[in-house]
Amino acid sequence: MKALIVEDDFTNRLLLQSFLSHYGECHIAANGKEAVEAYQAAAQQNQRYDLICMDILMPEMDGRDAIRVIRHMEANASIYGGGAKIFMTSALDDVKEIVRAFRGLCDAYLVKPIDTRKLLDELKGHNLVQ
Amino acid sequence: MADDNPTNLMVIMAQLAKLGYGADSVVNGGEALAALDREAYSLVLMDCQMPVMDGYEATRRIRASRHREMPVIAVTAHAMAGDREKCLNAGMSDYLAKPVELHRLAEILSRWTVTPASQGLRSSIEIFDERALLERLMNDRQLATKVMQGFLSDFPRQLDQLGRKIAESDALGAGLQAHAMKGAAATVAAGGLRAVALEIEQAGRAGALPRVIELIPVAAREFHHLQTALRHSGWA
Repeated sequence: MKALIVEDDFTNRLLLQSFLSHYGECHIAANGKEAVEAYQAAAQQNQRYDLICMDILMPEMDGRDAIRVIRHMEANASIYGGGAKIFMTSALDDVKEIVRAFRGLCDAYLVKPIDTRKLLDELKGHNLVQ
Repeated sequence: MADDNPTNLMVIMAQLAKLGYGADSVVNGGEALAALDREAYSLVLMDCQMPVMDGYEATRRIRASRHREMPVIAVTAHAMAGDREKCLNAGMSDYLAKPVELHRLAEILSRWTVTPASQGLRSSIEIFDERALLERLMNDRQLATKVMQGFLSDFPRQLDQLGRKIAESDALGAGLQAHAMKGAAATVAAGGLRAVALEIEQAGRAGALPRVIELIPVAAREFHHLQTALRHSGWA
């Protein structure tokens, strides 16, 4: 599994990176803009990410915009359905609103603080780990 | 409250009573040290110039004792610029100028102690919930320790960044910064710190920069509480 962690907070980044690196290679982006750049670079080398963990509220470009851009780039490359699994990580209290806004764009929603068991369940559920 | 001047003592004791704080008074630094060994206090108000043992020496000794975490507030008539440094160098936590104004005293006390109303209600779990953290990380103590250490080293930098946003009068930026701090505090199960960060985030979003500024020392204090709690429970 190759993962991209998009998160502006150091502590949360450290947690996700420490946990996910047991299961594969992890790259880090500190905001949506860096995420899009990392996605593009990986796509150009044809080494796409299997998983993108995306925070919502970030400086520069937030997670919503980054996800739309990435899905748009996938569509332009004629990748439908087989693209990166995107797990949205959010500390926002109104999870329902987020789910409504991102139905179809994301594969899973993880509420912060991250519970590694729930994360692992999602990884298994999306066949990212055995 | 340590002060050798009876009038000053009387005034401050009355002010403390008015604000709802219980207090004992002593007349020099040596007596203050003895009182700390006798009773459990939340904070020391320390006059700087006292006979037998002055406030600076008493504070140095407090910092070298088992009471090293005790907030010590300098109370001094010296209004020179260098006095503040002298107090902080001696290990004093904060500084209160004489004559002591009631609202300044209230502000300092709320900054460095829990308020009288909530005293005793606040459990250590509110500061740091070890069980919640471990449960959330599948009881992986090694991972929890690593994340906690990362948080402790990163949080002062986050406070600095918040200060920078304030210096730029960027309330929204401060709100976004506090949002990240809130997420980090929640991740390490630091409930008290998370609550303050949430308040800062809301104030920032509302453009209420003065409120953000007011809350920064509260966040710093809460971080200090957390560090103390972690040291006591062997996490840091």
